[in-house]
Amino acid sequence: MIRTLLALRLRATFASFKGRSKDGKPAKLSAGKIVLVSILMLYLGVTFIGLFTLMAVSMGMFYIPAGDYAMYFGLFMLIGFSMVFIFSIFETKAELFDCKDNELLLSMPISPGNIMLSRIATVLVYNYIEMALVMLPAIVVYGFMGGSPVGIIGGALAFLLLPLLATSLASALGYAVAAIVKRIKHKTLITTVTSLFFLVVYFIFYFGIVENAGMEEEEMITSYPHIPFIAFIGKAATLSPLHTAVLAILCIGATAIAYKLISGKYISIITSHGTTARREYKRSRLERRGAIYALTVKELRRFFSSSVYMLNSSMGVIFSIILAVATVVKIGEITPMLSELGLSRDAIYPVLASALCICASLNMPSAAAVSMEGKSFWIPKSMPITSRQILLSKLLSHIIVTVTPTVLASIILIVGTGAYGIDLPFMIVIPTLTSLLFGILGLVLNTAFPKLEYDNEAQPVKQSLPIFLVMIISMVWDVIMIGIAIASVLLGMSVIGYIVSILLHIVMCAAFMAILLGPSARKLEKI
Amino acid sequence: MLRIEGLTKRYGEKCAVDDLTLEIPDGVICGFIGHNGAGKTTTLKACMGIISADEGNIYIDGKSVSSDPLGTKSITAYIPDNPDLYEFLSGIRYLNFVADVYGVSAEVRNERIAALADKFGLTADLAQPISAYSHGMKQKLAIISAWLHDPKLIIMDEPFVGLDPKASYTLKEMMHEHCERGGSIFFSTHVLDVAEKLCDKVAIIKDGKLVIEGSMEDVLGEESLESVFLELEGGAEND
Repeated sequence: MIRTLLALRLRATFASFKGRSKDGKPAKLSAGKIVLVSILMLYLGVTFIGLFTLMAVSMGMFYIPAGDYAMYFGLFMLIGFSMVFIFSIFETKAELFDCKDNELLLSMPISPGNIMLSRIATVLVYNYIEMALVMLPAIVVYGFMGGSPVGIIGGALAFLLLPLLATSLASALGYAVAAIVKRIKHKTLITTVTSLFFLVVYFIFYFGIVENAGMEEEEMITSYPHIPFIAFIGKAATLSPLHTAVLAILCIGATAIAYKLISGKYISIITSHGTTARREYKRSRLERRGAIYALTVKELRRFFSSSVYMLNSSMGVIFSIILAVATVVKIGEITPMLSELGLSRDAIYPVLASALCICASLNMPSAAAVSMEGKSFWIPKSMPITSRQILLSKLLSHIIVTVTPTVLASIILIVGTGAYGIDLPFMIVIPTLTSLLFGILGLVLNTAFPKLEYDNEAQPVKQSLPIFLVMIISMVWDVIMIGIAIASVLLGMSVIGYIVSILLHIVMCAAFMAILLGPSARKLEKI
Repeated sequence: MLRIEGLTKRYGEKCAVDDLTLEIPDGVICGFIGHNGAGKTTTLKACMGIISADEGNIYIDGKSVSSDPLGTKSITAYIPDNPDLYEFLSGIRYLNFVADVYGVSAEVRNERIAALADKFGLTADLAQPISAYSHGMKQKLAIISAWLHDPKLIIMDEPFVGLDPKASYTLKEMMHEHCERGGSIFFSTHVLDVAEKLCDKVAIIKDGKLVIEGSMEDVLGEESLESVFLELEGGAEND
């Protein structure tokens, strides 16, 4: 039974990439699509593995020759564990408690424990993939740098055990979030703020480790009070019997406790519809607005009603504000660094503009906007509105959501760093154009590969082909923008760099806009 | 009001609707009956322009659904078999959204929403998010939104499913009133008793082909709709 349920969950995930045929049945994966998806997955895998390999090499150079395997593996185990744990809390909540087929499965002769186990197992599969991105480079680099076979076996054992612990803790926390969220009024706000909190904690921790990789153990212990824990779990990778046993007991025990804790309340959580206060309608006069206005407001309400949609598609908004504030705070440290490189302080502005472009390219609500119509897609389809109006309202919503904070970040940077003259308009215009470009691109791709049927919102927002495609294109675009910025600074031609960036943006925006209003609009009519 | 000429719709090798021709005059309620998978929903969706026809033409009030989709949609309303509405909106915001898209004036929308919501006993719940509505409440909201812009033609797919007896009665009354004002209604149902009492015209579809259509009196003769339907379906012999 568990195998059947697990296969069902995994099939639903992979269906995210397949789309639907005209008769509404799951489309067959064409050879071209298989190749495309494989390339995408490979590209993302290689990117992340490359990132962690670089990290492993830099840490390995310090810790492995010194024979400090425990600290080396401890750091990687903690990075992997915290990444898997934090990124799976809300995935676990969506998978365990918010799936639309929960009630259907409960009506069948399947024990709630089996339903729950199949859902946790699905999350565990994702978590092993994420953990592999961190631990495999660490193990391979360790092997290449002359690490002992014991360390390799220990690292592999840690790789097998840690996702269990992360999944159990995430399930328990997901359970707590689901239970609390059902009782509170501002569900979306609270969920979003909590998620952001966890994310900020993770990044502070991650960048702290990256910044301090290579520190002596004693020095690190004074910087980070949790280092003894790192050394402790790291010793499990050296196959020290005591530490390995403790880690194994911790991971397997946590799994058993989480299962016991959640299975007892599983039915009551997934069948409860919350206890928020009922709002009585008081008649007030309704005003008339235009169709585009109504559609755009509807899109905005859709966006702000879902923490999953907001958090997964608009991280660039948060990053752009963090970037602006951090730069203003650290400007005193950055200026001397520029002087050391023989650059004037003004050289920072083209780089900051391209950094804001990177943040803007991380915003992709439009790449899920068509899919988010879901089963309600009959509403706009049956209304006297054109496909272009539907697409434009989605683009407008994307612009409102992403451009406003991008411009705010630009203004913070301009005021905080004292930018003036020619840099000033470009620092606002270029990131704004990036927001526009990725808004149009996301819509084009989502119209080409819509996913209107899903069990939970995480599927169109996190696991769909358009999102992956936008992510990859944004990476390429970011490299181009940073390349232009650095080249223009080094050549002392920042204005030329700005103009080239703007022209590139305008050409790409115009090209994709032509596709959006032509082939994409026609495709939308046929969906 | 509605003229379907040789409608054909295929899904791959399966022909969902095969050369269907049907006309519904002004002021007529037409019931559309058939077994599951007979092609009712496909036909209704094609009339709304939600799916395109492979062959044939559909005209609403003389306008072609394929060449003037906005013109036909602006005088038509549709209620699907499952009212999947925008769950993130409240009931009143959804109705206001629909009124905006159809260009209903402020005065008219305020008046109609108040009257229709009172009729279905939904007024107190209009501030609630649609996600908190029961199936029946969503169905009531879908009905109110369909009547909101005073369409000439209303197309409904199984409209009575999920409605309580009072709401069913209200809907039947509204359907009659709509037709008395010259509008038309084309709806599918499996509730043959309701269809027999409510409809002026009936059309029966089997495996994508229209097997019989005409006024209720002509189709039934001395028989009940149930026996005519079962006869046509071949179910009477099986029983």
